[in-house]
Amino acid sequence: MSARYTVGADVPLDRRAAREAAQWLAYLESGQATVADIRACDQWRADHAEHERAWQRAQALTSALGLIPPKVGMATLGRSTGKSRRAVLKALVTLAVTSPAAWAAWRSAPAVRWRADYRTAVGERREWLLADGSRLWLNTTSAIDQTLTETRHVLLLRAGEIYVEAATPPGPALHIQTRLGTIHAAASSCVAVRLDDRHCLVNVVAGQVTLQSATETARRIHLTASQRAAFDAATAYRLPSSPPHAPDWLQGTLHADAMRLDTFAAELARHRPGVVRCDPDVADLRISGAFQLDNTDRVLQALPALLPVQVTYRTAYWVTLEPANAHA
Amino acid sequence: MSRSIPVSPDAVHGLYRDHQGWLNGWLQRKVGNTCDAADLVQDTFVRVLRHRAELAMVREPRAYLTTIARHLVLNHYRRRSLEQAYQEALASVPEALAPSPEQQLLILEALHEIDAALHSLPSRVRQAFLLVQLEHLPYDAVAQRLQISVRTVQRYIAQGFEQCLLATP
Repeated sequence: MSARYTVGADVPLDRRAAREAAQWLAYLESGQATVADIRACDQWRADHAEHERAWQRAQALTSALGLIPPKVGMATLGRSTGKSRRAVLKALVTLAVTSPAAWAAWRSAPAVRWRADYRTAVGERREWLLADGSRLWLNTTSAIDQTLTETRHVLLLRAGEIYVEAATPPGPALHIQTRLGTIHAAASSCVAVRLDDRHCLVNVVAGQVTLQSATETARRIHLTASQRAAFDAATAYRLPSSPPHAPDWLQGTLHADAMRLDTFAAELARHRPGVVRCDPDVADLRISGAFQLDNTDRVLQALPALLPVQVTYRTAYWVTLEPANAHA
Repeated sequence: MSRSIPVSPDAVHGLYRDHQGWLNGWLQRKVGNTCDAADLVQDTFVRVLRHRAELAMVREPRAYLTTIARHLVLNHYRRRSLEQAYQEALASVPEALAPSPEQQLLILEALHEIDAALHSLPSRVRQAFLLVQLEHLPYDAVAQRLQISVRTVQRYIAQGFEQCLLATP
């Protein structure tokens, strides 16, 4: 993780970037957005540093607005201006009390991930015991903001991958919030959540979990042990079940079962600085085995013994997997 | 514009020297205490200094100063009612879980910005924005409730986001 922007939070956004970010947000929230639209938005963000800054600010805004329990906010929003002013005030204040970390982050944007309550660097994995007795593990390059009140325990997953063992009763209900949707975990549940640019994958190891995508708030998906599901910005959907065991990365291993080599390269790359590129000619090769994430260089060195590939280091941070004898 | 005089920090000093005592009295009558009045006098002149190019066109210095000050007073009251509401809400949170004083300050700033941004929106736009953001209503439901098209709802939501994104302290 690194601070990508030198511009401070107090420098106003470029008006046009702010307008475009606002239009993207409004569109993505409409429920009409397709995966292609999300990609187009990713592209827009990548086009200009100011776009990305506007987007980060927008994300800070939606986390600040997003954590309110439905129905608390506006139930009393009146019609007359005087009344509605007070109702809005009340709703905002409720939000700020419910999710202080998100509101503080709004003022300290754009380097939001640095303000996260729990975070890991590239290649780092850590475990924490939380104040309510829940246990939290963060995989590489992950960030969580925690808000705990008497009645609510909110983990805002900003980036990366986590595994949580929710506290036993009578702990408060656990809500894992992502920009794509919310995961409600009953007491004593164990759940793994992985967030990337476009998806959020949820794998229930024990207990009972309910998913609610950010765009289809009326729909819930209920999961029990061994069941899996995913969100994208448009919808939530079930995935095939898998045996209910805690993720392998907790033990620092990557298990591959006939995994495509390009997928394998991408997985390894998450755990080391720099790039691991996979040549399209070898992308289809399949790899199986258990690999130690603590020494990805050794894993890379071992590959030629397992598959017809060679590993080329352009620099320590730029590794390419190519067909064996590509340069012979 | 032909009669405009060059505006230097000196012009602001002159304005300050001639009118700050009077402005202080005006503000004290408005807000009813000397501390806040003194702060608001400072804020007014900071604003004047920042926009001193405008001074060249000012004919009635006191009217100009009170226009700025009136806006700041409104802001001041809005901030105070917000602080009060926030402190009351915080009182229901167990002390151990309350945010640190530094965090509370950040949160108050954020609340103030978002509140001001929402306040500056036309009421229909604000209503649509809040129905989506706080009630999590889908666009078509908001369209139905406000008797507008779904496209308009999306436009209103974008307008709401834009206003908040551009909000500054």
